Amino acid sequence: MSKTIFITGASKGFGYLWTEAFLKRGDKVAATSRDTKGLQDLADKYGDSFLPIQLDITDKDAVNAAVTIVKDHFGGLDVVINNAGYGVFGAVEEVNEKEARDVFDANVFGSLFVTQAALPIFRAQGHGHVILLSSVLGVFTLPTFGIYNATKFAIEGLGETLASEVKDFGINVTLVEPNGYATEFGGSSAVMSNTIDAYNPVREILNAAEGMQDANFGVPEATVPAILKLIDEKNPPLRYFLGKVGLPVAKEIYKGRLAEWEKYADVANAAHGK
Amino acid sequence: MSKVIFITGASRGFGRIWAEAFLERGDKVAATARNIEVLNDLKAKYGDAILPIQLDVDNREEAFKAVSKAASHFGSLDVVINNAGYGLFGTIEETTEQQARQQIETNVFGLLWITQAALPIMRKQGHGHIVQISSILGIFTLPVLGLYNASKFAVEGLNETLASEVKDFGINVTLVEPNGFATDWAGASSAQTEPIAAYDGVRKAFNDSATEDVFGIPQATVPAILKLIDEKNPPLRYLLGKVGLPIAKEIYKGRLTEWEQYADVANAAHGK
Repeated sequence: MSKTIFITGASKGFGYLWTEAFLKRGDKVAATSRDTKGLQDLADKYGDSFLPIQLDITDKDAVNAAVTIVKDHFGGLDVVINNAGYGVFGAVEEVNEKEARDVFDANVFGSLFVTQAALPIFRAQGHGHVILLSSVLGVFTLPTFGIYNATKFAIEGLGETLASEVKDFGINVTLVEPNGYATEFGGSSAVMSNTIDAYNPVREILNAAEGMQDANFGVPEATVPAILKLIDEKNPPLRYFLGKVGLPVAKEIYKGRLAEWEKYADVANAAHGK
Repeated sequence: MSKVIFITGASRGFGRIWAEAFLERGDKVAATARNIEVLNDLKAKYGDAILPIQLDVDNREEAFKAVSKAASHFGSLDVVINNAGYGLFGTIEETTEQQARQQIETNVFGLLWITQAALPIMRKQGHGHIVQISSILGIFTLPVLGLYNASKFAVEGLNETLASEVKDFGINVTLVEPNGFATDWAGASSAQTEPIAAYDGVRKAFNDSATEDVFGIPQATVPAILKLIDEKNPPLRYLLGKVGLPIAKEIYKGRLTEWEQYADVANAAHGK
């Protein structure tokens, strides 16, 4: 049965790929971008099934207006995909105030505003699926991705909370967690902070690390079946990796954290005081 | 050996208790608060050992000035404790833009500015310990605390990264993760959203879960904090209270199980 899908950041990367895949199989799609030129070919091809919307998701009023337009245009809303976002490359000490604020605006507040606009609609319908693009870097971290890691960890906290708040309304929430993929994320979409020489060794180590080699970057088109499967799930999961990197690393990382906590368990318990 | 400690949010709660404990054992303390009048009694008692600094951590320029002032006043900076913060109580749908932004501003950006100010000083020294007050709600979540959870998750991500970036400079980073304690956190220090009636059930369940036993005694954290700042190789994560570890174990197990369930799908999505 065809779904009505609202997806942000649709002009390139996953957003464009998935929008095209939804349209191809007969779904109705409202796709947003700050610049909708890149969506013209889809508009020409798919006509009434497709509604391109120019939108800056960091503008809460504009977001509310856009979601209302979509709901009225298509008569309902089944899935919201918070995909718009980007990475900042810089050590914690190197990132400037504007870079920090801007990436939180796009990656966190933008997703929050879109989600908040959809929730009353979903509650009134008694169903809906909120999908938030997180990342393997919302589960564990890499050096020089600190502020980006922070935004994706924040999305994980928001998404996990939301799921517990809305399950009785028939609303599902999924955190989609891709590893690195060959999109513009590391290229034209990226923001690079000014560098401090002292961190050059850290950068060199990162670039040489296995996780940064081409083999570990996924093929974007390969995510399509997984996304179609996800939006068709009757009981979708809260967390959903894309790519082979996430699970083995998460297992090791979680093991390490638990071991460290165990080491100081007596101290922690004594600190409770009762 | 006495340490020079910079601590934010020292007017009450953990900040106040720990500042006093440091002073009592002979450390030098730069203690910040939005209203430093409340530190007058500590100034009267400990004299030159304490430098009260008026500071709202939301102000980046003032944050940098405060850290610089403390370092030059005492001649060094051994430990920086980012403690200032608060909780916003309300469901995600109930949260206004202003409330959401303010929660991130204080709990994440304020902490970031102080940390950025301390790093060049500590790099030059070749040593330093940055202690970030996170929470068990930076590891797992509770309903009705969505933006607070998000802010503490952000602190976890930011500082797990920072630790990997600065270890070769001799700088240690620790995320202190308390469970609930009987401070003003859930009361006078908190912010509250306007309720949407549809969430009354969620709110009631949340309030009912806040039983007395889950809240620790604030003074009981002192030995743990003193031990932490004396550690030669301090841990990256450090729970305070008995609630965190058993729940973290269960939560991590549950997440791994869910990921395993879709492992084939995830691997196929790699495309090579």
